[in-house]
Amino acid sequence: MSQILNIEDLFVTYQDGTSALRGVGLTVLPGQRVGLIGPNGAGKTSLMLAVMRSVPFTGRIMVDGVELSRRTTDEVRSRCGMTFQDPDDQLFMPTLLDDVAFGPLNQGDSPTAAEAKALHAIAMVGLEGLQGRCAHHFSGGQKRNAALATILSMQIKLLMLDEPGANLDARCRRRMIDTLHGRQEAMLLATHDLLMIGELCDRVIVLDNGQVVANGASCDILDDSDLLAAHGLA
Amino acid sequence: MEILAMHMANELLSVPVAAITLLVAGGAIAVTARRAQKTLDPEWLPLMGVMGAFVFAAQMINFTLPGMPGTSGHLGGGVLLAILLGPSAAIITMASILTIQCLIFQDGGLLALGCNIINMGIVPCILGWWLYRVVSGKDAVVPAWRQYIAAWAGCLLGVTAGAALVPIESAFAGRLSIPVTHFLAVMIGVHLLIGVVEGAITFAVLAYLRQARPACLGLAAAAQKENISRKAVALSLVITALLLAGVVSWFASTKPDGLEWSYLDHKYAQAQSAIKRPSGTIDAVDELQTKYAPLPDYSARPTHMGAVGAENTDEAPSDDAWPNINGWTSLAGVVGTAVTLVAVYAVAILLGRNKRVLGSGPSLTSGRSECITTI
Amino acid sequence: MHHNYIDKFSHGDSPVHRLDARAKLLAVIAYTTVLASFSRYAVAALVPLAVAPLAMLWLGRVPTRFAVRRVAILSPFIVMLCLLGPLYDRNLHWVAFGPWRFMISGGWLTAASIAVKFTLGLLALTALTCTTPFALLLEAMRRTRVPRLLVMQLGFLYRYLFVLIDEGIRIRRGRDFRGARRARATRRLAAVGGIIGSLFVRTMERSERIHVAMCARGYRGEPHSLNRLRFRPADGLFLAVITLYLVVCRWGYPALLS
Repeated sequence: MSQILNIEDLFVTYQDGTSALRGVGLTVLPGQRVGLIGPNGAGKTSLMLAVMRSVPFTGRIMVDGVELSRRTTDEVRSRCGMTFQDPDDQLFMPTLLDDVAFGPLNQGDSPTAAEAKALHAIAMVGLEGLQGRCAHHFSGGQKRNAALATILSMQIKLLMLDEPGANLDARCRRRMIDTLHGRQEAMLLATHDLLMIGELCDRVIVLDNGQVVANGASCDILDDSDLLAAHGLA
Repeated sequence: MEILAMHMANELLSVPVAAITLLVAGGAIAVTARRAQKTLDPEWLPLMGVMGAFVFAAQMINFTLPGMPGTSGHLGGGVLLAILLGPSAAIITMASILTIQCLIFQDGGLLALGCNIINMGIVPCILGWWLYRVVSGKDAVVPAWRQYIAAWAGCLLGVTAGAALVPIESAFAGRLSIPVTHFLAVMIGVHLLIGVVEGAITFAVLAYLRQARPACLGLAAAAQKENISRKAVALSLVITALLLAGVVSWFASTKPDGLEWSYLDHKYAQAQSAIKRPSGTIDAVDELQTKYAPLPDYSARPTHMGAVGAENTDEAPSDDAWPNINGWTSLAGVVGTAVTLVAVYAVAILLGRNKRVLGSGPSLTSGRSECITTI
Repeated sequence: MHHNYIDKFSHGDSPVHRLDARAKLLAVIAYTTVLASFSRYAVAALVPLAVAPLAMLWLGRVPTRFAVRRVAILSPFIVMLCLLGPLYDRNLHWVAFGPWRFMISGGWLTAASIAVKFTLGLLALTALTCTTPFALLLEAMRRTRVPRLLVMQLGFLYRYLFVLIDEGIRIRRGRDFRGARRARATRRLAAVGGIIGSLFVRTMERSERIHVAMCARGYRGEPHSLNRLRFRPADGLFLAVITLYLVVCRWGYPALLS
């Protein structure tokens, strides 16, 4: 089966010399949901940013059969999408509709087609009726859903979610989990919320200090309390 | 939250002046945008909007003035932005800030947008920035005192020059009765004080960035923690005080020459205008009334010419305004002395202080009134 | 944080809300121009100009108290200028209101004129902003040839305005709760510099993250936008009525007065 994401020997080093990832490798199959867990500073966000080619890296990244390089950046970005830890960073247009239509318009859709896709995505995350509002009116949960809608409208194959449940109350968190449950796309989910991982993900990868320290079925890893404790997760 | 800056207003403008200033401002922005696109990535231009939001937030951080409880000053931002982002990006950012202030806070009219962009965007960002660069020099490492003087001078020039344009634009428009010289004197005087506070805050921001994030200022390494020279601050205060005293005495001196006022002149002038309109009754009572009451008792008039209506365009002679020459020169003297005394007092405090090292912050500045109105 | 006087009424529904944003923008610009074209001694001639903004506010269901409060809050500078006028201009003019005629000094006339123009202009602008969502105003600007990048930049300012104001409020609170008022002036100034400086750095970092988010969604430097403005016959009628009204106010009524 072709892999939706294949990372080999990934190294990410920042300009100030910090080494965020050191030789990381992983694969995600179509439709599979993979959890990415690790203590703060383990490199989870850097990994996702590398796949979006927003940080310089060495190694090999293949998304849906396309190798990530300078030339293929746009194509890769049209096949995978990322939500950030702070949804305010990715809701930057004056209205929700503009934000969700931003991706399709950049992909070359006509304004009418983009609007249709945007409205559909907004309905998928339960925000219908709010497309004319500005994001600063939204609650935390609504913002996270809005951020999700901005990538769902692009009809991507791989969702990368960075801390999707952070700062959400129990009800919103429950709704977020239900929304994600209903999705068919492959998913890479970086979070501290082990319960969310347990509910949503089939596989779990543990990252610590820039390296993969465990990679297996979620039930195995989440039950291994020694492993979790050793890497600051319990 | 509202920040009440002295924006130009629609009501002070005439259509031709508004049109010209809008064209000038629009042209300047077009040129600047093109320049900015060459120096910045075009992808970055929208992000100037986020920096504009930063300026709004920065304007909310108030600095309670020393010795004047209840009054505080805050940043305008034009000169600081120009120093941090370069004048092109700063002009575009200030223009967008003013547009938002007009459209969202209704502060400053639509027609006055051109004037406001020139007065509070283009002029401070170019002039203020230029003077800052001239004074601070081209070295990568600038001593703290020099940076302070550069910030003070740049802000003073930028803020005051922009403010000085308001009376000039009003004069061309002709909608205000206040003569240019007086309006100019007041605007310049007040904005000298505003400029000093802005210079102090600008310097404080630059001092912080020198240490914490030198890369933002294009510096290679963090500057050493330096004490600001009290002499530099004293010098800046003295010069500001002298400028202020100069403005005040100029304000007073415009009156005596234009004010060869005599009761007889006034009387005859009124008599002449009354004769032009055959009203029938001209007497000392009328003159007294018109001298002291804005709205004379209309029931005393028997027959009058038909209503001229509101379209009268007689020019008001400016020397008609103030009756007492002697009063004004003595007032000027008093004010000038007071300003000098305050300056001397401030300098004495500064130099006489033997407290510990100041650290990276500068010291006392003179003040301005609270201009923030909170809703 | 609730900045509830922004956008408070602009998402409502009323005949005025449904008008095309371009038509409203054009109408308000034309209105303000006509207002500014009157001389400084015009007061009586301005009276019919009060009809349009008041009608728009009433039809747009904007509470009068809100509009009046906006005028009051923004007036200090203008009031100051108005009150100084009478000190300088003591030339006398005739003024007629119906059967009453009296003399008034030019300074007071100018003061009244400025005050009326200010109030009416502000009411018109308030009517515009309270009945038009800002995003539509931006699109109106874009459709009238303002460069897309500049319009996008205004959109960003609007979007992040309150994010940053909230940050500023929080930081200011944090400073005030730690006894900042009692510190020495030098320390207070250093604190202000530090706060603004760190806000600047944080904003730069946020801009970079936003840039990453934009590029991640395919942005390459040319903004694209949806087309949401549709000019309808009602908008044409509105513009025709406004034009007629302004012509009458500018030339018809003053001719009647004199």
